[in-house]
Amino acid sequence: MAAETQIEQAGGSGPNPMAQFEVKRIFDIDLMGYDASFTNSSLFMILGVVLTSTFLIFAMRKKSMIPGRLQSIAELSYNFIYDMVLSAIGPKGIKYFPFVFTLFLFILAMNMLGMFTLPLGHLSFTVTSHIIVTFAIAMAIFLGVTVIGFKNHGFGFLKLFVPSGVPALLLPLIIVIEIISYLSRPISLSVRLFANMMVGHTLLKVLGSFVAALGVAGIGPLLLMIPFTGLEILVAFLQAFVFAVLTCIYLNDAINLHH
Amino acid sequence: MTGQGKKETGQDERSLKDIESRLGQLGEKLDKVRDENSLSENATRSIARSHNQMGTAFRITSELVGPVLVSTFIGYWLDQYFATKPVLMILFFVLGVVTGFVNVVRAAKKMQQETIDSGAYKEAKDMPFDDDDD
Repeated sequence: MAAETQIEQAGGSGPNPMAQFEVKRIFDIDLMGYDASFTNSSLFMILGVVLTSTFLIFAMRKKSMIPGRLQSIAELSYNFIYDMVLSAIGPKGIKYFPFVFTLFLFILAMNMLGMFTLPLGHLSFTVTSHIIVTFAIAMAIFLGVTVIGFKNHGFGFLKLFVPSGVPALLLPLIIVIEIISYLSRPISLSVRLFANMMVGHTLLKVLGSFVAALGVAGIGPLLLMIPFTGLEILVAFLQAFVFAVLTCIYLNDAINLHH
Repeated sequence: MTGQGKKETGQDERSLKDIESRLGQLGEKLDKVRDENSLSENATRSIARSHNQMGTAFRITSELVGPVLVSTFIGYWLDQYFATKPVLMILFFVLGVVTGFVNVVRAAKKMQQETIDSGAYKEAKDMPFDDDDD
């Protein structure tokens, strides 16, 4: 609450561009002393899961030889990720395809719902603009990849930190660098997604408040908003894609272990 | 009866010619559509490639910054553990910067290798660029 009032004071009289990132409770749930309330964040996660699942099931209900529009969208997205997994990991990686596909669709739905949910008014929310959400996903991937690596290669997985063809003198330094690089994966993975989503949405909100404040002259920022909205949609797609690509690259390290 | 038969053959001939001309037209249309499609296929491929490049750009920026944050935090934590403020934090900050650069150089090398493997590099190299044959 204190932070909230601080932001409001700093923002002055106009609409607060950070208000869109507030987590609001819809109804309270108390789980053994922990606050597990159903918030707008939870609502949008559920909405995303339900929308993607129903879309895929609905689009593939006919499975016709000549796909209709919906079916070709579903098949296109499936093929897109399938090709990516195959080219990044190889045939051994196909068993992780369902995970990567789910991850991609979930993040894509989260990002896109933040762009297209005006009718919900003040409840509108972008789940991936909160670092705790993206960090939780990234950490799950990081731990999962580490477990898969040790399961596939035993302690041989530690060879990941010892690149071949390095002079013995430099080896200690290189190993430290490799370990730092490995440990920084979840941070760079989560910060990238969160920062891109938050920055874009804040920018759109600030431009939007200019439109409202300037009256007739607001046409200027309004025109500026059009390309930025397009860019935001592109970024929303691209970040989901990059997240999936990097998951594949990390899985590749754990499965094939060549550096 | 015979008259009718003659008429029918006449109709057949006419419709045959009609069909042939229509076939020709259709063929032309098909060729056109095919040309357009191959063009748009190329366009989508280049769009996909540019998306991929933009994705790589996003990736590289965060791979430059991520290790610095993580490494500095590790240094800070180790400093508190060994009570050696601020030596390890500075050391690990420098290490983090080095790691970031190593990451970026590696990603760039990999991208270059991919470009060479995909043949795009050779294509660009083989383009008629200079006219003096040396």
